[in-house]
Amino acid sequence: MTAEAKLYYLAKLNTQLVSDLTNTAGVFQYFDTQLAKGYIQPPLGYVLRVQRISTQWDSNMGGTTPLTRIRFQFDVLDYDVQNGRSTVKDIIAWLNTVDLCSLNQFELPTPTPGPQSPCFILNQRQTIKSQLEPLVYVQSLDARIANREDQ
Amino acid sequence: MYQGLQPALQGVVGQVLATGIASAICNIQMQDGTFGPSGAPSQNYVPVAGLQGLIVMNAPKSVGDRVGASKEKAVEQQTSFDPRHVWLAGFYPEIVTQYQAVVTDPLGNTITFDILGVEADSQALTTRMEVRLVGI
Repeated sequence: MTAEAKLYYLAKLNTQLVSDLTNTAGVFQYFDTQLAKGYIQPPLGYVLRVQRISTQWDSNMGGTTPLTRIRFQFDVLDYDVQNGRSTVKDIIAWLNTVDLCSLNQFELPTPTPGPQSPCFILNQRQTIKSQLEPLVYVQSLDARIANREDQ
Repeated sequence: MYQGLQPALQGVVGQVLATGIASAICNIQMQDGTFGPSGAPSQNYVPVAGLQGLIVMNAPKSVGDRVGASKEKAVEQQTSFDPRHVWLAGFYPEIVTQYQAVVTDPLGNTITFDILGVEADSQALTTRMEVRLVGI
């Protein structure tokens, strides 16, 4: 199971993210890598786009190990800038529960204690998609997430 | 005998309208000037007085046989551009690029455009706008 698939699975289990990102048609607007066309339509619209920026593989004397540290970029696109910032806060809260090194949390109900390999928030910034009218605000969040590639 | 073009120019707009090709209606809108809880400009637009119900021709912008619309493909998204040339049957120097144009075609479809450029002719008879529809 890839890290992207794990994240998507876990995001769909988070009721707050589901509430933030589900549109009126019932589509969970979480997109891997590329924004699907047509989900940003004025005057209202909000999506989450998740991109893998880089992958650092751990290695030892025997070669590479299954542990990777992946830098993901979470882009929240929203016409309402405050709504976008609120969604980013919910993503940070969700990342505090995410652990891609253990299979335990893929069980329901999610066991306690919390994650043993926490996610590191690296950076949060804001940009705009200025070509659009009205323009769309983009809140970007960078996170370093440890992942077991063999799980 | 006066042989200037002025009388003919004065009748151009009427002749064009008589052909029926200016079949769309345009309403000009501006931002309402309010700000949200964080100070961000509101995304609400309100009608501009005196610039409502303008008769226009909404045509694709193309040069030669090339299609004007295009698409940029990127890793993050695919951005499509649809540039249009809107001819207004009147002189409207009040229209500026900060406004947006809401154009309704004869079938009732309404599209909101970003105004990229607007200019009036030298005889103060007509106005034209370059507008663009962008989608991601």
